[in-house]
Amino acid sequence: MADKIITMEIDGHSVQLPDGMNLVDAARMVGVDIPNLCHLEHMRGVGACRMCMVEVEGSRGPNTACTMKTKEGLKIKTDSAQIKDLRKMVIDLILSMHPLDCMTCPKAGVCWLQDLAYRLDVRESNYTRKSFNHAIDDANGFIERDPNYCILCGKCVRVCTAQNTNILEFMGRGVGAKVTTAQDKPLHETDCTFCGSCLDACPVNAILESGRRAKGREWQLEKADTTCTLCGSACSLVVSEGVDGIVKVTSPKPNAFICAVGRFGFDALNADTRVMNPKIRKNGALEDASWEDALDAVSAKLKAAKANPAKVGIIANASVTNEDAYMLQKLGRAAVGTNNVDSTASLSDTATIPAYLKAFGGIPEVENCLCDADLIVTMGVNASQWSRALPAHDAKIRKTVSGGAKLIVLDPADSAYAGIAAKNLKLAEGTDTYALAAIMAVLVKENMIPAERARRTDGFDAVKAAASADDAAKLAEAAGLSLDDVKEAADLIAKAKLPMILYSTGVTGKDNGADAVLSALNLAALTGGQVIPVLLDANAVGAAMMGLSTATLPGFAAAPAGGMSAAEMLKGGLDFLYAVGDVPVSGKPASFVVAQVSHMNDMASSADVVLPGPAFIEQDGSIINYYGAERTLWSTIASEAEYFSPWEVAAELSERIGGGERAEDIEDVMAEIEQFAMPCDEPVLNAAVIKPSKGAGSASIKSAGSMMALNGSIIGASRVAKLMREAVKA
Amino acid sequence: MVSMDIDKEMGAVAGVLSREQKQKGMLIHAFQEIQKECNYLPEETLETLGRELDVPMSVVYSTASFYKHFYFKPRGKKIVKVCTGTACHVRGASEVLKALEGEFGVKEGETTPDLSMTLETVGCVGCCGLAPVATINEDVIGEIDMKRVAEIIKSVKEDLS
Repeated sequence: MADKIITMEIDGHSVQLPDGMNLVDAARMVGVDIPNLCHLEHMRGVGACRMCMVEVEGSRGPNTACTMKTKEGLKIKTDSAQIKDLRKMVIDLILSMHPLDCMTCPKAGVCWLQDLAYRLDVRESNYTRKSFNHAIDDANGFIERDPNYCILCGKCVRVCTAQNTNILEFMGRGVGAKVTTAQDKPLHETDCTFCGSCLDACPVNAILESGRRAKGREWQLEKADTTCTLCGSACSLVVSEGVDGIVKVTSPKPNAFICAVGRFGFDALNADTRVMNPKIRKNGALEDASWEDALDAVSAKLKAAKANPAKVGIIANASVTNEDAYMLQKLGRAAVGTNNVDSTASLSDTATIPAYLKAFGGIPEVENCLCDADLIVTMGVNASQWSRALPAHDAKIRKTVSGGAKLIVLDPADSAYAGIAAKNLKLAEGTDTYALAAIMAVLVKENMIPAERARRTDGFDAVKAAASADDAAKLAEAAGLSLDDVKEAADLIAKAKLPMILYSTGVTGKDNGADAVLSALNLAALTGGQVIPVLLDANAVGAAMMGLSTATLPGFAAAPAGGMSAAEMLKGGLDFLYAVGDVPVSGKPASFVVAQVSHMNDMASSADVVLPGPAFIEQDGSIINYYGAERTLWSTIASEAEYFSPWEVAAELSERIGGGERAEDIEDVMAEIEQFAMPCDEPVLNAAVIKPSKGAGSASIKSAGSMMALNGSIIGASRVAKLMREAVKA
Repeated sequence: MVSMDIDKEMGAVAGVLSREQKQKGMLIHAFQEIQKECNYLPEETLETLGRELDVPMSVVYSTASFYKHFYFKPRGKKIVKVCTGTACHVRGASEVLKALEGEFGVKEGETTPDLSMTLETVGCVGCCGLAPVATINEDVIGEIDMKRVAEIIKSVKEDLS
């Protein structure tokens, strides 16, 4: 946002800051830390804890900075003697009702209260101690709530409310007030999804990961920033490891959402179903083998199968890294000579890549965060925290709407977003292109878009001309909508500063999905907005960019026609199939199957050779997320499973069957793939007139149930499996 | 029964309030109506209310629990409040309370299983000259001695027959 810059004074220094920004956030931008216990960055300040009090020139008493905004000429003092005394008193009061057991408290080291008490040198409270002996809620196996530590900052309540989960609230009032559930029920008796947003928000020890106690002091934990690859949301994670393994997984920011599976699924890494070492089928049964023997068996078969390359195939779960995807397709295309290389991404989406290649020649990085949008349009997006389909997308959409953005739902199905939508447009099945054309016709004909809004594009005049020639009423009718509804939606879009259009499997599963995506790109360009593809696989974009797709070679170059897609290969009939990760299959799809998996799954059970692979959070490398942004994966986990990354196996097999010298380490692969990464820095939309059409068909993997379809073996091995079962029941 | 027609209930104010504000604004009014009818706020009724108004249960309970005069458990037909303010305390309020607790087998704040009586304490009822004092529903009983305690017990039990 190009906001006005103002000049104000903090502690005697003149500073320039954006106008109207929250004072605590703004001060942090210029390196001034205003202490606080209740403020959540980028959310409205509530002034609950009174720690952020500052002196304001011209004001009679001190004010809470978190409820103030920057403005021209404002002068504040954040560190005067009077302010220090006030803060000391606040800490003194809180400590009178807080256990002073920092020596054993698991939050020691990351506790905000401990930190402030230390900085202000408040050793113990001057007031009479008071405690309520509240019951501890710890029977759920994920989250332990101990209200005796609670300082009533309300952060957990606000994150829970903003994402519409609505489980935690203040109950009672005054000194007896308590943050808990309706009727003080234990969490597992409520609709809690155990996303654990409250865990990251809690500044003290009132909300703690179950099993966290005595697993290592906070400062002893080794922390690794990585990216979750269990679904298309591809959330950033921080993995904290103690001497005995992973202690917890958290979100890098206190109010960024990660779901229960990403947060609590790490126990799957040590599950019984984990594939610890290679296995070869002998006399009908899989028997443990050495890597050497397994690779001998696989390369011998592959060498023979190479004689008929059209009968050889490679499929990977699109959660593999770019490095894996690149080397896997190279094994197929260069060493074997087949175009049968694909990922699971094509099972849910064959529209995004062709549409974007047509429009931009690549996938440009989305410039803004979804949270910046003041209007969201969802098309066929069925993300849900409760059914555990792209839960982080669901939370982000709901948080953005809670923060004041408007929502337009374009969906033939009953959308879960109907309740929070400003406009719920229930379309006739498959008529997305008609609805978008109708909206564009209204926008162009009624001159609703300021000229400076529309993005510079090639061929856009033709799109505008087509829109102005269109009959909005007829298009609306074809989409099963009233013209008034379309006009209201167009009005909302025209008024928005940053509209963002999200589409998912409801659109991409249709045979005209690519046209719908192109229409959405046209609408976004017309209104200065952005389009965000909501993809089911964490590295769907990267897999295509690296050429692990029947449509693209590395760098999004067009692939020769005739390669078999994942769906076609899974129908059976191949001589040799190398499958990586969970690939949904029934029966044995090739006469010889090599499955590289972290946990036993259907594919591995019928495979001839099973190779151990890394599980999520054990991967190293990079992926391209749905924003088109590169994310790195970095693992420090010392696993007992003897796995190699898929890229290493692919490189080794390549060399063994005569594909040339193998890449030795991941840096070699990274250097090799660098030339193919991110081909469009300054994307110019090559707009094309899209003729509306009625789409048919549906994706073979839909967002509902996608997490289990694409990661069943990992999730099934974790304690979160019971949450998935409950989600299915619900 | 409680009317769920928000706009009607809120009158002229409705136009300037958002949907969410209206729903939350309805809660207190609805609680009062429910409590008038049921004598407390039953869980199922609150669930229906939350569903109808599209307000989460956490918010329903958070709002209700803010006010002392909303109850989440059934209350007795007779509400006996024993004053434990300074004057009553000095004049033996604790004896009065103990006698009633013993007779009905409930502790302060509890209700008898047959819902005949809820026993509570209050800080002062404003007639310290009559200490020790108790109230039965709206009636004030002053200068309580053991005889008057017996009368209170009798009055509670009378209603049962």
